[in-house]
Amino acid sequence: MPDNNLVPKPEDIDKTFDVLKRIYDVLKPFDILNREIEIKVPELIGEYSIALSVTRRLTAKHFSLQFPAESGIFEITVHTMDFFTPIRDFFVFTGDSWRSDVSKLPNGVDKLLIKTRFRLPDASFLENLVRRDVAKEVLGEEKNEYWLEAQVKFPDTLKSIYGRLDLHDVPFGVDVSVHQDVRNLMPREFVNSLRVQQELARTTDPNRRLRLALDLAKTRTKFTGKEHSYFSELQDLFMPDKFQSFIAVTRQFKYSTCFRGPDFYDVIFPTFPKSMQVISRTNLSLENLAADGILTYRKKDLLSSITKIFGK
Amino acid sequence: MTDNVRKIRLDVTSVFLPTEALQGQDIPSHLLWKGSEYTEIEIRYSDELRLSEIYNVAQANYTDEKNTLLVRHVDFEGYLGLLFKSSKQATSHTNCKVDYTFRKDTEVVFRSTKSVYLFRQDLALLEAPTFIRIEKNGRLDKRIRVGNRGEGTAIVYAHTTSESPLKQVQPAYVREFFANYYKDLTVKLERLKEQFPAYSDIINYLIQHGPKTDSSTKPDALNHDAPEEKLRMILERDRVFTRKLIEAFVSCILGNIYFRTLAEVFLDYINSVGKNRTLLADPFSVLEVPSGESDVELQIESTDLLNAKYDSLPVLKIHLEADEGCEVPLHRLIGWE
Repeated sequence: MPDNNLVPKPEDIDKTFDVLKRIYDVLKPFDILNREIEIKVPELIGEYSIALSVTRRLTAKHFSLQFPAESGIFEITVHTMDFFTPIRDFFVFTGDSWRSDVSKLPNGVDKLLIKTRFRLPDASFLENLVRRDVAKEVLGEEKNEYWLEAQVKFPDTLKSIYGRLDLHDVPFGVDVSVHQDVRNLMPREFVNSLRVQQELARTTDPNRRLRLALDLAKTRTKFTGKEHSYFSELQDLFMPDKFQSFIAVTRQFKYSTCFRGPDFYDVIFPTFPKSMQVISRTNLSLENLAADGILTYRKKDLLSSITKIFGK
Repeated sequence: MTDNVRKIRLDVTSVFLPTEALQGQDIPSHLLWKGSEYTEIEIRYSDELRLSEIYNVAQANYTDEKNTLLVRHVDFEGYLGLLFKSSKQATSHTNCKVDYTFRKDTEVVFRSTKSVYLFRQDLALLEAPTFIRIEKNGRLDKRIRVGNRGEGTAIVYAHTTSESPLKQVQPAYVREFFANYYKDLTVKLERLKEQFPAYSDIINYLIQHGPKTDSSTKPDALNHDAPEEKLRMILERDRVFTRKLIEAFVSCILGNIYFRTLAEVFLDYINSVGKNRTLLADPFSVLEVPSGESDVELQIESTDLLNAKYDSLPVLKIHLEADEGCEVPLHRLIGWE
């Protein structure tokens, strides 16, 4: 028996860009020649371009367009299609809405390109359009290769509603585990001296304190007294501009930025991160419906940086 | 492995299946091609996988039976998207095959076989002592031996049971450190709100989810939800804010260091990371063991990096004998293999 639940329903697609539907509904009476949407995901800015045929009679009847300020539209430009001449003040923002002024349409113009730029409140629309997956954990001793994959969910529906759709810089977050590397590279002597210091700080018994102090003096190493410097230098390794040197993103994705993983902000361990969240990006469109990439974490390079810190 | 049987005006440009994944993770797959000289696409997949979603196919144009998906027509030519679900298996590692075939009538025009290696953690109790002696210097004569025999990371929660005569507690210095650290952090985060008013919501979330004085986190408490996603998006976009946020956290650690020595701060981290991909959720809790004999009951639970719960290890009933009254960190009772 076929499983009827395999094809997800695109019922929320229309609501995704509500403002676009309203623009399209208003302009439907005209002969629409082409439609395109471009979304710059990090900036949450969209650009909806519609090319249409017009006549003076039709525009007088249908072009009393009005878009409220809450629609998120912040710019509307109009150009002729032949020589791409701008038609200034065809749309004017009055303070609470965008209104059209048909009198600005020059004689003889029969094709227009209307570009509407709008702001999106957040990136939740992506969930309706794109399936995004990344590896949660991978294996490897010298390097870890995390896979990334993107798929457009409803290409046919998108084409019929929007015409052409370009999504720029769709973000993908990978949690790169670093805990084992930091832990394993702390020299045993360093860890032992930390434990003696900890016990010394906690013990109140004077005889025991004396014994521990002597232990500490005997085991004085190149690490002793430098904990502050090691702490700061290890923290620096997990700053974005440093950690990115251990990361390479290939194939259809590119590296964007990185920051400490969510466990750091859970604040139960306000020390070093257990993971680093690395953001990569890719572009998707109706010509490029799926993409895959590899995020390589060069463990060996981080390990050698940690070794250098303790090697001083 | 790819075995390109025969091409007839069909150019398959991409067959994607991840090479490895955690058991329980969603596994995406896709096919991209040029041309339309085929009548059917067949996808055969291992029993360990379950097909969950397909993209670019109308309901009437496919069947999925007995681990075989047959697609007769795609909506938008050149692309087929798939999503498999995987689940925890009896074995901690297994290889799953997916076979992709294009046919024109009865003839195979393209075939490719890919496999995905599914792994997970496998936390095991290796030795469960029933009696532990604690010497004057705090040395234990035995430890509970635990090992992660799987390749996935195990996040371990060790805690005393409700029936345990001895109960775990948080040392006073830990409570004091967190209380003062949290007070300072709140002040710094409130200042950050003034500099970045647009992020007030998410900063409030960080303040509200500050360190709890009881850090005995249980698996359910670690579900990351929408605010985490919002924080991630802000950190992606705004480097200035990211740097200032990190500086706030780090300066609060250093500013309260007189409650904890830096040595202890390092050790918090070290004690929370075990061998072979294990993380201990709570390196702080201790047992206040009296001099002489006492008893403790311990439970060890674990999750993986997907926050999926695993079966608890058997409850451990341990008789303790201490030369003198002492504080024993719970994590010291466990030896990692």
